[in-house]
Amino acid sequence: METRRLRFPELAEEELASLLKRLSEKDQAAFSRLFHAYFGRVANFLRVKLPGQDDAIQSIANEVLYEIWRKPDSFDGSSRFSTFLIGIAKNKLLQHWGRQDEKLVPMLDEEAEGDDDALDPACKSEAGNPYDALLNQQELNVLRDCADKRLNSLQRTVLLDRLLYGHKIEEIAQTLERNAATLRRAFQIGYEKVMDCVRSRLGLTPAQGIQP
Amino acid sequence: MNQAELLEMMADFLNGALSAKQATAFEAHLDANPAARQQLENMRVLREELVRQAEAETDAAWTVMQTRLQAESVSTGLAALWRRWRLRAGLFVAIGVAAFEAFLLLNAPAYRAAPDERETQAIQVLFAPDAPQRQVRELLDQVHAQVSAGPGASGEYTVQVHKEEAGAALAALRATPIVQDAYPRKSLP
Repeated sequence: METRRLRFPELAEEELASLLKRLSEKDQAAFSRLFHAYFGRVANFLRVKLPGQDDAIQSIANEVLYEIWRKPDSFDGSSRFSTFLIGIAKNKLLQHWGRQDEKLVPMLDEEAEGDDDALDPACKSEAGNPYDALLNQQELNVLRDCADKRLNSLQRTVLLDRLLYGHKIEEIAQTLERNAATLRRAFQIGYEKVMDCVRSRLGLTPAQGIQP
Repeated sequence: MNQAELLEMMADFLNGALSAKQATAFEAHLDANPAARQQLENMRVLREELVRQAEAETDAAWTVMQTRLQAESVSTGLAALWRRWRLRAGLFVAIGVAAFEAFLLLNAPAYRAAPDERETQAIQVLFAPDAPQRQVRELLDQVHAQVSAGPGASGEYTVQVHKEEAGAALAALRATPIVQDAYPRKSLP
């Protein structure tokens, strides 16, 4: 089965070192490569911390990457580069919250716990229960809309981290400083919410089965 | 395998994170469960959509960053230009200021320059009591003389003239009706 890879996957150690060296010479092409490889990861982390604040997420993630542009030597290689960037993002977040009078902090733990996240009993499917095939453009558009609108910030972040960046739930839990069980549940609920949304929009039910 | 475990396994499978043995076992599970295979296909499609959204978001952010870098490049260029030219600019300004001051000095009235005693000759002058002040000033300007003291007890003024012009100045003063007496003042021993 063909699976599409990210256009800009996480960089190997050697390539990263080479890019950082070029960054110290203000090579914008090198920065573009690095930016495209890591912006999504940083933004994904921020998405959980700043739910629904897309402008702030983009602005802070840009600030994080800009720090690397300004001081490429600040990364000493003692940790993973993405971990290093998340550390910068945490500092930027504190500054942002300082400016916002910390009014957003209480929102963090409410994200995955609301009624909105509860699974529809009809959708608590086991492996043998069917999901509908997504075969044509109309269905793809429905999926796109559902993925865009139905996921909360935590679910989107976990799905992205898990499916795009290939992180294990335990790694994500460490980065987000959240409970692994909560994130595992957010991953399952997020996935099933999208699929439920698709099925509902297409007028199908789990009982209808799939047409392989 | 429950639903949560299946989703975990599917994510690892799509990410290529399963060992060869695990992948083979999972493939066998998919062969035996068409519904699970369909779920995997659905997850793959969802994953593609999430990739598309993430890349669109990154491209938009990169456009913003590029604008910032361009602005920074312009300001950096101007700063470099300033660093390169600031010494020369400072020198030009200093030369300009010096030239302006020189111009002012060269165009200042001669009589305002403080006379140097080593180059001047003091002359005692007694003007007529009814001599108009304007004529006195014109006479002193004419002989390039500058009053340095006076009037004394007998009404005399001491004026300074350049040593080279002292003789002519003395003669001119004596020839003028408004001057009653003029004679060189002897230097003190």
